[in-house]
Order: sequence, then C-alpha cells, then structure tokens
Amino acid sequence: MPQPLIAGLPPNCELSAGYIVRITALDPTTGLTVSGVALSNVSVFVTDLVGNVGDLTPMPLLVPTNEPV
Amino acid sequence: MARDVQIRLPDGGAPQSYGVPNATEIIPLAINATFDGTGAAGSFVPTVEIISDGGVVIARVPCQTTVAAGGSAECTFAPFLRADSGGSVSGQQQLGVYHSNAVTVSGSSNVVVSWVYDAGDAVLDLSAPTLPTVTSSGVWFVVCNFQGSGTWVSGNGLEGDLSTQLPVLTRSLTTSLADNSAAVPRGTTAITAALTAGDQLRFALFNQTSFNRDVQMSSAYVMKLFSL
Repeated sequence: MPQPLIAGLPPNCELSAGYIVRITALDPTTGLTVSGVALSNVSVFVTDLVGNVGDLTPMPLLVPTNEPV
Repeated sequence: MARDVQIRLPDGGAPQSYGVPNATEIIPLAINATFDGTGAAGSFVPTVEIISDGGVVIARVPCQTTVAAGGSAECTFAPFLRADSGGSVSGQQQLGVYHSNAVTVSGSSNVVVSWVYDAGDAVLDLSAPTLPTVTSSGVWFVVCNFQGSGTWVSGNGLEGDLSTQLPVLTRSLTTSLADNSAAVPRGTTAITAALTAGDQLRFALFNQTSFNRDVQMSSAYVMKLFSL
C-alpha cells in the first residue's frame, strides 16, 4: 500500500503552449532524478481555458458563401 | 470555452511529462501519481516541475516527505495542500466547543471564567481551567459568545475580554449593553492568533453595573485553522 502524500501547487498558474508539467522523483540531497522509480496512474486534472485539450481535430472553417440560404 | 478535463499519462519510468499543445492554455488543478520505488536507486522526493516554453524550470514543487528506496507513495499535488507538521495533531483543522458556567460578579468587577469542554476536538488542556492552553502549534481562531443572565436593566453593560497570554498577546474586547427587548446583554468577541503548544487563552467578563450580576461565557468555538 503506497503511503498517501500531499503537496501544494501554485494556484492559478496559467500555462500556455510549450510549457511542460513534469512528474518526477528527485534525490533529496542532490536534486537529480532518481533512476528506477516507476510512475503509474498519472492524472493531470486541469482547467482547459481554450477548449483544445484532447481535441485532435481542427476547428471547422466557416467559409462565406453566396448560395441562398 | 473553459472546461475541466483529466489528462492521463502513460505508465513508465520517472519522469513523465505533459507538454501543453499549440493553441492551448491550461491551469493545473490537481496532479496525482503513484511512485513505485521498488527498483529505485535511492530515496526520492515525489516532485512536480513546471517548465517554461524556453526550457526553464519556473516552479518545482516537492512533496514534503522523502520516500525511502524500495518504498512507494501516491502523491497528490494541488493548490493549498500542505502536509501536517506532525506532533500530537493528526489533522489539519480541528474544532473544540467549550463554555463556562454562570457565575455572579460584583458590581464594577470582572471574573476570569473557567472553561468547560462540551464537544468536538479536545484542543485545549484544561488543567488550569481559567487559563486553558492549546495542545498544538498552529493558527487559531477563537470566538467566545457571552451573556448576562438573571435580572439586568436596559443600558447595563457587560464586557467580554478574550486574550492570549505571553509570549504573544492578542486581545479582543467587546462591550454589550442590555437592550429594551431582552434586557440581557449578549455579545461576541474573537481573535485569530498564531500560537504554539502551551500558549494560554483567557476570557474575562466585566460587569459594568454597580450591582451583582450573573454572567456566563455561553459558548466558545476554538478552531485550529492549520498547523505551523
């Protein structure tokens, strides 16, 4: 049974394209990544401000037309 | 339009990353992961890093607990979460309810009330009932309701005096006057203070009339907002 732990995130931190959220395991002395740690059930719950997260299809283009409605 | 979504990352060795895609903006609300250190090369601290589009770490959020090599942990990262500092307190927020019995106070005199436990968390040590002490360190919010009982005359005053004692003195005074409708003074006084285990509370009632009056701390709510 893994021990349950908690930690604080900075609130209201808006991240735009190109930013990275990295989940890692660091050595408490050196700050370097510790090898051999396996991650599972990784869940990142976010507010998607634009609405594109997970959407792999582009927005449909609205093309003006002269056809009668 | 903004919406809340869950993003699942694949299982694998640490680190695992989520890159914010083009034309997207997100605000992380909660990140959860299971760290299996069975094969870890050493002890480790579960950590979330936020890296800018320029490759610079702009935030590094370590868990406050180090996991020993071979150990495992499930860690949740979310705003305003903070591990308890330990000691005798197991929870973050605690609430104890207290009162004092009614006592008769001479005119123009005060009484330091004796606290009696009612319900909730026993957050006070009542070995000295007139100077109870908090049992753990933290930021505390204390609110005391007081009132007169028996016969009062409209306009008679009763003062509630709530304070912490040395080394940090915080004090709140409230004067309540008996009104025409109830003819019994009722009031509330409250303080917020950072206290360490063993710091004292004190609540006194001052009878502002020139006659004997019955007074009481009808209820007191002692809340530890968070640990220090």
